[in-house]
This record gives sequence, C-alpha cells and structure tokens, in this order.
Amino acid sequence: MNTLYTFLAHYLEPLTSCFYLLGLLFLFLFLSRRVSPATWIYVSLTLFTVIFWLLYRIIEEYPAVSRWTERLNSPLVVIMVVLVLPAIFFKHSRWYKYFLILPALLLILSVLEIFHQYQEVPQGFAWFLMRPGYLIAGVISFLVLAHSFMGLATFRRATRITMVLVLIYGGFAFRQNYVDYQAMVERRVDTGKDLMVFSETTPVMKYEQRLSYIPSAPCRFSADGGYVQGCVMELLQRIMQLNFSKVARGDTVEMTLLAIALAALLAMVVLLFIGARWWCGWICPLSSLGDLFDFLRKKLGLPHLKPSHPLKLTYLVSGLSFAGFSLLLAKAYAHIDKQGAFLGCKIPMHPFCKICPGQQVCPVASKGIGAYPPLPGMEWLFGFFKIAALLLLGLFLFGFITSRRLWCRFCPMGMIGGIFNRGGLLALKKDVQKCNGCGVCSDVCPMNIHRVQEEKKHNNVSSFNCIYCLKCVDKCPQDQCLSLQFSGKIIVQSTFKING
Amino acid sequence: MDKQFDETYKLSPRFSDNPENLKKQRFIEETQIRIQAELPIRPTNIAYFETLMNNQDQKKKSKPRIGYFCNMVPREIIGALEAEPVRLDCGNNAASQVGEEVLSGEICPLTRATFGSFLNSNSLANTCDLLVLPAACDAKRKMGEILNDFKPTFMYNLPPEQNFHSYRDFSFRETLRLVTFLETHLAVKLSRKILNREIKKEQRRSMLVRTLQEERIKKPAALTGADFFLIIQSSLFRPAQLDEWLLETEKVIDQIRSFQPERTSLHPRLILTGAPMVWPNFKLLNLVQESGADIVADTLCTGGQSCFDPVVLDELGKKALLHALTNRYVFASICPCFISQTTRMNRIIDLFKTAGAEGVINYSLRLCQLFDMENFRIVNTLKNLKIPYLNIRSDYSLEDTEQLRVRIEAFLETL
Amino acid sequence: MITAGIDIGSTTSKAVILEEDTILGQVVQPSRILPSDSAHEVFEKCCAANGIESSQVTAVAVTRYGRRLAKFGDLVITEIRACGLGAKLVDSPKGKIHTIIDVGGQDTKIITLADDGSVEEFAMNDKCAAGTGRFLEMLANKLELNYEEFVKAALQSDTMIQMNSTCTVFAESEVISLLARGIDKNDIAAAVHNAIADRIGSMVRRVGQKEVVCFTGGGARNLALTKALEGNLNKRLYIPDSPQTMIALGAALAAREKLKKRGVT
Repeated sequence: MNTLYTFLAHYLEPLTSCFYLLGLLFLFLFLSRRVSPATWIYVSLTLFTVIFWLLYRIIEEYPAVSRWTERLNSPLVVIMVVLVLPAIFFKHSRWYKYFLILPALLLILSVLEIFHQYQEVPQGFAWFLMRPGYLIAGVISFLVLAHSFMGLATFRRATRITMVLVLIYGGFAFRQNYVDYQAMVERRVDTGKDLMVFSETTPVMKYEQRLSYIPSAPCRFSADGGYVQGCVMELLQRIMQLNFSKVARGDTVEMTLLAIALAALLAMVVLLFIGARWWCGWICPLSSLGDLFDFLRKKLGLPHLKPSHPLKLTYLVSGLSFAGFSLLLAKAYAHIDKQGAFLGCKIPMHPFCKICPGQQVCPVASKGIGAYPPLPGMEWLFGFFKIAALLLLGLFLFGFITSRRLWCRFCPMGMIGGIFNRGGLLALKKDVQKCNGCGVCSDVCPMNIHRVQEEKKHNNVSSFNCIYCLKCVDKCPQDQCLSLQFSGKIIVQSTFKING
Repeated sequence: MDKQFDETYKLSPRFSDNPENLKKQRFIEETQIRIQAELPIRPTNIAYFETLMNNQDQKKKSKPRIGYFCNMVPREIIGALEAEPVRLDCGNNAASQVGEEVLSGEICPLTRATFGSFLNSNSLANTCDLLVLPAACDAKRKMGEILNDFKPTFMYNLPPEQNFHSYRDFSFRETLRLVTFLETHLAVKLSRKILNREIKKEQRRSMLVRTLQEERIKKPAALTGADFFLIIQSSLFRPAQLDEWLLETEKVIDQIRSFQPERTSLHPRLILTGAPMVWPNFKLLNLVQESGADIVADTLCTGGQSCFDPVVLDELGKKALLHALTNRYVFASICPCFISQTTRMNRIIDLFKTAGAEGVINYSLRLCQLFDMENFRIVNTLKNLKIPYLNIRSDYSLEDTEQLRVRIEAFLETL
Repeated sequence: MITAGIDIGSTTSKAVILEEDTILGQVVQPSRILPSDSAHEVFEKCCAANGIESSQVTAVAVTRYGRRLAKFGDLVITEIRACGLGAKLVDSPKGKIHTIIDVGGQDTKIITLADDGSVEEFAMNDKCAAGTGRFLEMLANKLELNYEEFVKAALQSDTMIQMNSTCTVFAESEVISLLARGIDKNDIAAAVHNAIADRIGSMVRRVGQKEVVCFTGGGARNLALTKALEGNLNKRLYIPDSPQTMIALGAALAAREKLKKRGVT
C-alpha cells in the first residue's frame, strides 16, 4: 500500500489540485464533441500526465513553489475522477446513472472528513483516504455528469449555488488541520477583532496563519477566506501599492510581493483569455447573492426596470471612476509618511476594498447579519470612504432589486473580463439565417444587451458586457441559431423546446 | 377608452342575401372536399378535421366569439378572456364575387371574399361579437372602418419596421389597447394565471405544428400538402376545441411516423412561399399534387408558418407575458407588410436547405402589391443562389387552372 | 429508332415523325373538337403521307392543350419543354439558340435555354389575347383584309403611327377611329404589328434575350411581325424552316430521349 501511495504521491500529486482538475474537466467537455472519445481520453490523459509530471519536477526543484500545490493533495481523488470522466462519453447509455455513485461516494467521504477533522487528525490509512479535495471533486463531477439531464438554466443555478457555498463558506469549512481550525474559532469568537483590521494584518503572503484549501474568489472579506483572493481589484491594488523604488533597491519583501502579484496577474490573464467573462455568469458569488433579490422579484411577478442608455452609461462611468480613483489612492499608499498620511490625508491599504459592497455583503453572507459590523472599520469611516461606501452599497442593491444585473455594468472585475469577451477563446455565436427576429434573446438578457438581437450580418455576437449566462441560448426558439463556442467548438446550442 | 373609428358617417350593415351565390359557395367547398377525398394517403382520423372545417352547425356558440384576421393577433389574450378566437380570412371565390359587387375597385380577392362573407347574414363571420384587425396591409387597414359598421372592430396597429428597439414599446402599447378593448366589451378582466395557461396551450399547438412539418419533411408522401393545410386551418379558421384538436393532431403525427413509404415515391420536393391560401382555395396545392410533385414545407401564414414560432416566456408578470406575446406575434412575423423582407428570405433559404428541396414555388395573389414587390428580391436572390423557382400569380377563380398547370409542369420538367 | 411528336393546338394540330436527326415527315392540319380525335387523325395522316407504318413508330409524345385528355401516346410533356427541345435540332448557323420567342394563335411564350439546351426560364402570356396571333387576326378583320393582305399592307408602310391600346378589344375601336380620320390602311396595319411587337418585346426583355434568338410559332411566318419585332429588339431573329412544327419536333425528340434513358435502341 505504501509503495502505491508513494508512486501516486510522486507522479500524480500535481493532478490533485482542484485547478488542474477543473481545467481537465473543461477540456474533456469541449473536446468530446467531435472526435472519438477513446482517442481523446487517451491523448489528453497522456498529455496532462506528462505536463504535470514536468511541473511536479519543477516544484521539486523549487520548493517555494510547492506550497501552492500542497493543498488538496489527494491522489485518490485523481483515480476517482478518472473513473468518473469516461461517463461523459456515455451519456446515452443505460449505465450512465450508475456513474453517479462515484460522486455520491466522494461526497459521503468528504462529509466524513469534515466530521473527522473536528475530532482529531486521523493517522495512517484513514488520513490517506480523507481529504477535502473529495468534496470539490465530488461536486464538480456531479455537476458535470448531471448537466446532461438538467436543463441549462437549472444547471447554471446549481453551479452558482455551489460556488456561493464553496467560495464564501469554503474557507470556513476547510482547514488543513485541527489546530488551525481551533485558531480560526478563537478568532471568530473574539468579536473585538474588526474584520477589516484582521484581514489587513494578515496579508496573503503570511499564509501560515490562514490555511485553507479554498480560494475565496470574490472577496477577501469572506470570513476566513482562502489564501488566494481572486478579486482583480485586490490584485491591481497590490501592484499599485508596491513601492517600486524599494524594488529597484532590491528589497526582498517588496520583490516577493511583486513576484506574487505578477504570478497572480499572469494566471488571471490566462484564465480570462480562456473563459473571458464567463465566471461573472457562473461563478461570482456576489452576483449570485444579489440575484436572490431578482429571484424574489420574479416570484412576486413584479416587472423589472429596463435601464435606459444614460443609466447604463452612468453605471459604467462611475464604475471606472471609482475604480480609477481608488487605484490612484493605492498608488499614493506606496508613498505614505510615518503618520500614514500622504499630503496630509490618511490613506488606507487597499482603498477600493473600503468602499466596495463586497466587504459588506460577504461577511454578512458568511457569518450572518449582525455577526460583524457590516460597514468598514470605524477608523476609515470618513469623507470619501463613508459616502462612497454607502453610495456603492446603494447602487448594488438598486441594481439587483430593480434591474437584474445592472450592477455588473459597474463592477471593475467584470470590466477587465469583458475586454477578453471579443477575442478570447469563448464566443457567443449566431447563425443569422436562422434568426426570426423575435427579440426574446434581448428581452431575457440580464445585461440588456441588444447586439445579440440586432446583429444581422456577422456571426460573432459576443459583447463587452456579456456574462455568458446563456439565457439567450436557452430561450431562443430556433434550432441552432445561437450557440456558445469555445475556440470554434460548439458547447451549447439553442433548440426549439416548449419552455416558460 | 378612446374610439378608433369616428362614427359620424356610420352606415347600417348591409347584407346581400343572394341564395344562388350561397349555393355556389357551398359548391366550391364541396368540390374541394371531393378533390381532397381522392388523395392517395390520408390519415385515418381526417374526418375529424373535415367535419371541423365544413360543419355548418358552428354558428352555435357557447362563449363570446371574437373574429380576427392574419397571424399577428395574439390568440392567447382572446382565449384568456373566456372567448373563442376565429380567424375570418375567407378563401371562397364566390364570396369574393359578392364582395366585389359592393366594394368596387382593385382590391385583393382575400379582402373581397372576407367582406363578402360579412354580406351573408348567416355566415360564421356574422356570428362574431367583436372583430380584431391588424393593420397589416392597406386593404385591411381600410377594411377596419367598413367592418366597424357590422361589428365593433379594433384596429391593431403594427409597426412599419420590425425594429425591436424603436418599436417595441409602441407594439406593447397596442397590445395593451387591445386588451383594454376586449376587457371593456367582454366585461372580463385579464388574469395573469389564465393567460399563462392559454399560452401553454398555444405552445403545444406550436410544437405539434412544428413536429408535423418536420415529419412531413422526412416522409413527404405520408401527408399531402392539402391535408396539412386542412389540419392547421381547421383549428384556426373555425371555432375549434383546442384540446381535442391537439389530441387528434398527435394521432396524425403517430401515423406519419409509422408510415412506410413505397419505393417509388420520389417526388420533386418543393418549398412553397407566398400569399395566404385559405380553404377552399387550394387550387395550387391540388395542381402541384396532380402534377406529381410534393410541397414538403411552406412559409405561408395559413400553413406551416402560422404556428411556427412559439411564445417564449421568461418572467411571469402580466406585463412580461404581454411583452412575450407581442415579441412572437409582431416581431417574429415574416409578413411582407414590414419594410424588410430579410426574415422571409432567410426562412425560404433555410427551409430549402434543411428540407433538401429541389425548387421553390413563389405564389402571390393578384392585386397584392406587398407580395408582388417582394418578388423582385426573392427572384434575384434565388437566381444568385442557383435555386430553381417558379413565380405564380393567381387569384381565387378557377379559370386559369390549366394555364397554371402548364407552368407547374414545365417547371417540374426543368428540375 | 423512329419516334413521333404530336402538338394538339386549339386551332391546328401538328405531327412530326423523326428518325435519329432526320425528319421523316410533318403535317399541319386543323384540330378536331376532341383532343383524342385530333391526335389520332394527325398522327395517321402523317404516317400515311410519308409511307410509314404506325407500328414502326416506337414512341409518341403528345403536348399542349389536351395532352392529357387525348389519352394517346406514351409520353406527355408541356409545350415549353417541347419548344426547348425542338430548338436543339433547328440550330441556327450563327450558333446555339438561347432564346425562343413562340408566337402562337392563342398564346405567346418566351423561353431561355441554358448552354446544354435545357430550359432555364420561361414566361407565358396565355391569359390575354394581346400579344398573340389572335390580336392580328381580329384587327385584320376590322380592316376588312384577309391575313395575307394584312401582312402585305404592313410591309408596304414606312410611316410610324403609335397605337395606344394594349387590349385587343379597345384596339379594334382605335383602328376604326384611325380609319375614320383617313389614315392609310397600310400604316394602320404596320402600327398594329408594332403594337404587338412592343408587347412581345417587353416580355422578352423581362425574361432575357441571349443570342441566338429564335422566332417560331405561327407568328413567325408573318414577315411584317418579324420586321417589327427585330426593330423592337434591335436584333436579327433566326426563323427555322418550319416554325409551326417546332414544338411537335421537340415532342418527338422527348420521346426519343425517354427511350434512350430506358436503354432502348
């Protein structure tokens, strides 16, 4: 058993990280459309094993990098997922449903793991079996398998709910060991600790103090969020806050900060090029939480506001202005004096975070109302920050309550993603000859995009604001008119069905 | 609600009770029934549809009856207000002769025939309580005021362009006006839930018509064009019990699916596009059938296109439902009354490719400027795409049957 | 292989007997009331006149009005296809025929052919007498001339008078008023021919007039009409030797092609 484990640990370890898993699943999803499945399984598995074996060798050479991959090391996850993946190709066979036993098993094991975590650290064989990676692999493979019999809208809803749970609560649920968990409980019970202060005093590089498996993508303010904060604004603020004169002088701390920021930036660009703004429509927990209001409104049968062009422009321009100004403040932060002021004004670290509604919504969502003061730390509640924080919260609520996804036209993260919408690998395509002009696509679009309905010549109807929620593809009544394509391969197409 | 028609010069409804003409109308319908009875393969339950189409007893009604025209009036609204919708476009040549005696001028035969049906005091048209007329073409636009002398009429104005963003609100307001008109006259309020239920029923009809069309493309000889039109028109042009009709149509679909084609049934496959062909004016369909060709698909608003687009629902508020109805009925229509004919052209080409057809028959009604003027682009586009086509212009009378036959046969010979 | 083609028109019926590319015989005669009678008669007459036994004829094709009612022959085709096929055998010395103008007694056809001789497009005027031979007949009547005199008169004129009426019936009244004004009969005759040439010409321009343009049918024997039409289209028209029987010739050809397809020699 030990030799097997050693073999797996060495050669398949890199495959255990959930990012690679995601990538692998996604790759299989779109590759399986045309070529013989068996060929693709064989080719992709070999390719991935080789690539990641190489990466693993690199990790071994440079241990510093290994800390990024240590998480989620669970070789057995790989085996489980590899057994599940072929099911994608046998969608129409009777045995398909039996494949669901595997993710079910994974989920049971992960529940056991969580339960065990909070008793005692298991030793030996049990330790080998239980890892939180199971939960992730289980959920993802369940979603992948289930998508073929869920409608597109239901699948997306399931994915979004999962992402909210995983990303906002994930950091809370998954600690590397019991000791860490206890420390976390202490921190949370101590209400004297302001969340803002806490998050700032433990920046990401000091990862030993906050060990978690789950990257908390939207916001560092999810209670006990993960060690990687995926917010683009945070990343940009970090880059802005670097004191480049120190970097030039060879200051190791600053250089490490820069290296980390650049690595994250590179990763972000790659992901964006592959997925563009897709994550806005499928993963972003902030919008999923906001959409709770939309759900309520629909259930009550209330109409929604169709934002006029001036309103949309207002949101866009104010988003850019707020983001730009905050980044300017972040740049100023790099040059604060001993009193923490620049030209006489006190400037906080991560100025955008102070005004962003995320730092009010995420703690409330993950800890409950009233658990933490929802507004930013009292010391920063003045002037620009106070007004802007309330204004932005107001815009957020107004957008989601009355007008579906109007907020997403403000969100700076979305804007960066939107740059890759036309030109990235993901594209929304339309067969103009099949369009009957009914306008349903434009009506259901939560971003109120007109291009998809108006375009009468070209095939590519992706636009800057499109979040790839695929509502238009789902509702379009003409066969094969609208489709989501990844690098030319069709992933989802519109078909005629009685819906509504 | 503001009145659309100023009744200063209102005339009392006039009737022209001409028993000879009524006999002629009946005779034309019976001739068509006879011709269709001789079709080679008919569904076993075709009698249901024939009775629906020819039953003279339909004058009796259990609910208020609303007559409407064209394909652009949302039937679901009428159904949701506990009324039965009946499409009143008339295809009877004798009726058009009667209409011509009163309405002079160069007006299309459909308008003349429809007006002619009102001149008969005992017709189905005169059993309606209210009329809804979309302002689709000039003839219909002016007919509104004329018919208002007979029954309270609502003119449902259409946008000139199917430009979604410029005219979406305009069309929506027209739909609201229609709702107000009907609510006032019927003394019933439109309920969101009942409207949703009606929409679901119509969606079923849309799905069945699409399925019928798809099955006909796969097995053309299983159901002839004339029977296909009969099945669809019996539900639109007569007060039909939609639930029964849906069941019977499903039986027809099952029969088509189990049809085993004979080996020699390789007809030239044709697409039909153009002006409405209303029962009993199936002259062209009969001719094509007799010449040995098969119309596998069509874009006629009285045939395959009538229920082609479904209403797509997203939100369920009353406003959202009415928006969804307007979208489907006004903006998805391929009628030539809108300034651009791109959607119709797309549909013809798409059908031609999907059905693997060999030619297109482009049918226009004499004296209809809209279809005549669209011919220019259709002919040139089809020529550029090397798609064989035949232009036919005719009206309701049977005197040019042989001449049409020569043209159709010559066209088939070129395929 | 010997085949025959029968063209049953409303006034005249024609038959042509064909062996390979040689015409063995052709006959034109007035039609009977029943199409079947016309078909039988004209076929028998053609066979008899050329010493051919009807049993030697392998296949017969029938066309035009009554083609289905005649219940005669092995193949039924439309006169449009027959016309197109006939053009194959009467190729002009100037090149392949791509356009056919067929002016008959009761209808006028314009047919364009592709390079391989198949029918590309066609237009028919069979709903209105204007533009057909009937137009000329009725107006000749009104001028109290018989047909030959009428044509001769038209050829003699060199003055251009414009006639306004497009409808045959109204044209008659116009002719009478021109006569009353003292206009020369020759000039009127020419004007009538120009009027019909105008109508035919506009039909041709609507369909297409690729060279070589062939003029056939009963109207092709009318020199005045030929002259007027050539002037209107600004083209030389090719007239085959026997324009009246071109359709029947085409029918015989169709019968032969069908046999060839079946593998019969």
